[in-house]
Amino acid sequence: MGRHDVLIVGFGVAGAWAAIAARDAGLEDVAVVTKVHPLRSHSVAAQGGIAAALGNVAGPGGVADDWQAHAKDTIAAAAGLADEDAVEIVCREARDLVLAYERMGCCFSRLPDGRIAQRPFGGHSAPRAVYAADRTGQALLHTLYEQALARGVRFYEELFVTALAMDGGACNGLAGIDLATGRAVALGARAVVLATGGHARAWSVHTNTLTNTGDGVALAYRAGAAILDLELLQFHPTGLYPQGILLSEACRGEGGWLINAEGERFMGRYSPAKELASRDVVTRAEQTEIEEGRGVGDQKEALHLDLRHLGAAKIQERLPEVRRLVERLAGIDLAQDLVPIRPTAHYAMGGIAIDLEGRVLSPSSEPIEGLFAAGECTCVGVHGANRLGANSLLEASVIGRRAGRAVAAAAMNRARTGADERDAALQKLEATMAARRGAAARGERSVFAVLRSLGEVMTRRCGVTRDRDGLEAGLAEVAALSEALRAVGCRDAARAFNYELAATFEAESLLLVAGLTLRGALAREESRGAHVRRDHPQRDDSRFRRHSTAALGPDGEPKLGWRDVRGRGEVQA
Amino acid sequence: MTRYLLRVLRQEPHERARWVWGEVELAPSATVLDALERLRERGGDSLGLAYRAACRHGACGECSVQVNGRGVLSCMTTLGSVCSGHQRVEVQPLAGLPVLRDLVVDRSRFFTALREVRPWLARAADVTPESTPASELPMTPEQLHTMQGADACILCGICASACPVTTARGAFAGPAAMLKLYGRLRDPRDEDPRGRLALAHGPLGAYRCRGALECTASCPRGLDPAQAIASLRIARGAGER
Repeated sequence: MGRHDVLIVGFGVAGAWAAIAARDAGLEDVAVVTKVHPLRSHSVAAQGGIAAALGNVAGPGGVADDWQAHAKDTIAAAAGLADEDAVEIVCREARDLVLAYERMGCCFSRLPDGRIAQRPFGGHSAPRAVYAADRTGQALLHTLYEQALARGVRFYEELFVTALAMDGGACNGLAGIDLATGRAVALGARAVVLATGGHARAWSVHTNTLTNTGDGVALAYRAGAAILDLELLQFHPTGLYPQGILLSEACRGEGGWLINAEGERFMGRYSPAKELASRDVVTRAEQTEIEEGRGVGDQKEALHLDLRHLGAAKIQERLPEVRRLVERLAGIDLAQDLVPIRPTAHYAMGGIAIDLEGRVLSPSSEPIEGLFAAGECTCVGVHGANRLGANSLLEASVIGRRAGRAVAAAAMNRARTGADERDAALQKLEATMAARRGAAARGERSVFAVLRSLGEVMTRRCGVTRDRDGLEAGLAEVAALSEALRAVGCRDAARAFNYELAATFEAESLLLVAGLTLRGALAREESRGAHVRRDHPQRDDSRFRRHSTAALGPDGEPKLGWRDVRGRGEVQA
Repeated sequence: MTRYLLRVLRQEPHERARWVWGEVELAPSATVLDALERLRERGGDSLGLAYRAACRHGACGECSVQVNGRGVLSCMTTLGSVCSGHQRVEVQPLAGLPVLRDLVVDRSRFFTALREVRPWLARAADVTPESTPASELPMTPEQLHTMQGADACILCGICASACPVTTARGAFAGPAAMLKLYGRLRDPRDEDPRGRLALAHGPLGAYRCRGALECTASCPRGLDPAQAIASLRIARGAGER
C-alpha cells in the first residue's frame, strides 16, 4: 500500500492547482489519483474563457474594469445566494491567477500590442473573459500538467476512487479500483483533496464528459459532509441539438444571435442585454419559446444559433474548435448556416460544503479533519443560483490553489494515523467487486440501461422547469432505479479494464446525487436563478434566501436543512 | 435510422485477437463512439467491450482508435462519414501500441516521450507561481502564430500511431512531442532555446523523422507536426525568433 503526504483526487484545474500549490508550499510527497488520464479531465472542455478584470479591452463607455465590478456582476447573477466573502476572494485573486498561468507558459490569445486579449461574456459588465481561442480550458489544463511534470508530481492514472478511509471522523486515505488490473487498491495520506468535477451526466442531454459522475459528492456525503444546493444545476443555453454538446458562450460573446421558428431574434423581448443576458435568463427564454410553439426542427424543441454575420475569418480565428465540432457532428458550416441548439445540463452550482481554504464542512459547519475539496464538486458559494460564464475555471483555479496551500499546512501538522480503516475499506471494496463481477443480470438489463433511464428521468422530471408532481414522480423513479441497480450486477467477469464494473460504482454516485437533487428541488418552493418551479413562479427571499443542505442522517436517509448565506464583505450588491 | 454493420477487434490480455460482429441501427449523424456504446450495452459478443472515451466532442483526445484503417477520434467520427450504409465499419485499436484490452492501448511510451522533451515553459526567474507577477509578458498574435498551433494539440496520440518511425520503436520522441518542442522554441517567453535545440537535434529529435508525413495527414485537429519537425531540423538558434 502506497502512502503519501497528500492525495488529490482528480486533475481538472482545481486538482491540478491543489497539487502544484501543495508542492510549492514545501510538501515533497504529493500524489494525484485520476479516473482517466489527467489530460482528459473535464476542464479541457471549457471553451470560452476565464474571467479576470485585467481591463485590457475597453468596455461600453470606456469604463476601466476592476475586481469590484466583477464581484458585483457575480453577486447580481447569483440571485441572492452568493456567499459574498467567497466572491470577493475569487474576484480579487483573478488577475494574479491569470498572470500566474501566463508565467507558467499558457498561450492566451493576444491583442495586437502583445497584451492578453479579452472578450465579452454574458452577465459581465466589461469584456472580462481571458481566452485561448475557444479552447481555454485545454490551454489552462495542459499548462498545469506540464508544471506538474516539471515538479515531479506522482500520478496514479486510471485509479477510480470508490471509498474514503475514515478514522473516527477524520480522513486518512482512500480505496479504489485500479482499472488496468481490476484490483482493489488502498492509499494512505495525511490529507485528501477531492477535485472530481461535476455530475451533469445524470441528465440525458448534457455537456459533460462521460466521467463526470458525482463521485466526489458521493464520497464526501458518505464521510459526513454537508452537501449544498444540488437543485441549482445550470442549463447552458447553447447545446448542439440533439445531444446537447457544448457550443461555447463565446458564440454569443463574439456576437451570435438566437433565432426562433418565425425568424425572430427573440432575446430582445426578454432582456435588454439580449443574447448576453446571464445564462438562466437566456435558457428560460429559450424554454418559453419552445413551450409556446416557436421552436424549430421536427420536434420543435430546438432554436437556431446564427453566427453567419460574423464572417468566416472571425469565426476561424475566434471559434475554430466550435466550427470544427459542428461541422463534424452536425454536418453544418456555421459560417454559412444556422445551427440548431437547445438548453443542456451543464454545471453544478451546488456541491460539497467547503470554506475558503477548501476544508470540507459538516452540517454543523465544522471542518472534517484531513478532508479538503475544490472545484465543481464543491459549493464555496461564488455562483449562488446562477453561475456567470468564465467564472468556473476561475473559481476552480483560485479555490484549488488555496486548498493546495491549506492542505500542505494541514498535512505538515498532522500525524499519520493507523492503517486499520484503510484495510477495512480495501476489504469491503474487494468483497463488493467479487460479488458483482460476472454476476449474471436477469434479463437484458445492464447497468448501462439503468444509467440511460436515469438520464431520461432527470431530463423529464428535473429539467429547466419543474413542479411538485414531476419531482415526486422522479424521486420514486430514482428509488426504483436504485433497486434495479442492485439487481443487475455486472455481466463482465474480466479483471482488466472492466468498465461495466466501474459503471456500477458510478451509477451509485449518480443515483445518490440525483436523489439529493430531486429532494432539494422539492424543498425549494420558489423560482430563483437556474431553479424554476412552474408551481412556485416567484422568488421567495423570506423563506429561501438560503442554501439548501443535505447530509447523511443516522438512519441512513438524507437529512435536509438550510444554511444562511455567508457574510457580506466590503462589496455591495 | 440506418443499419450499420460493425466489425470490432477484441483482445483479452495474453490472448489472441479476434473479430466480433455487431449490427446497430443509428442515424448517420451518430458517432462511432455511440455505436460502441450500443454494442457494449447489448452484450453478447460485445459483452465487456473495452474502449476509452471522455468528452464526446473532440476536446480531450481520449477516444482515439482506428476506424477503417485510419486513426481517428471515435467521438468525432460519424457513421455517415465513414460508411454509406452497405459497407461495414471496422474498428481496431490504434496501430503500433501494445493492446491492454480490446481498444485500450498502452500509451505510456507516448507520454514518456512528451516528458522527455520538457514541454513546460522554461523561466529561471519565476520558478514558483506563488509569487505575484507584476505584469504580463508581452507576446504578439504573430508570435503566437509562429508556434504552429503547438498549444492546440490535444495529445491524442494518433500522429505517433501513424508515424512509421515512432511505431518501429526507434528512439524518436514522435510528432506530437516534436510539435510541443517546436512551440516552446518559438515561444518568446521561453529562456532555454539552446536546450530546446539540443533536444531537437539530439538522438530523440527531428533528424529521426523520415518524412512520411503521416502525422500531418492523420491529425484530427488539422495541425502540421511535419512542418514543425522540418523547421526544427533547420533551426539554428534563438536569433531566428
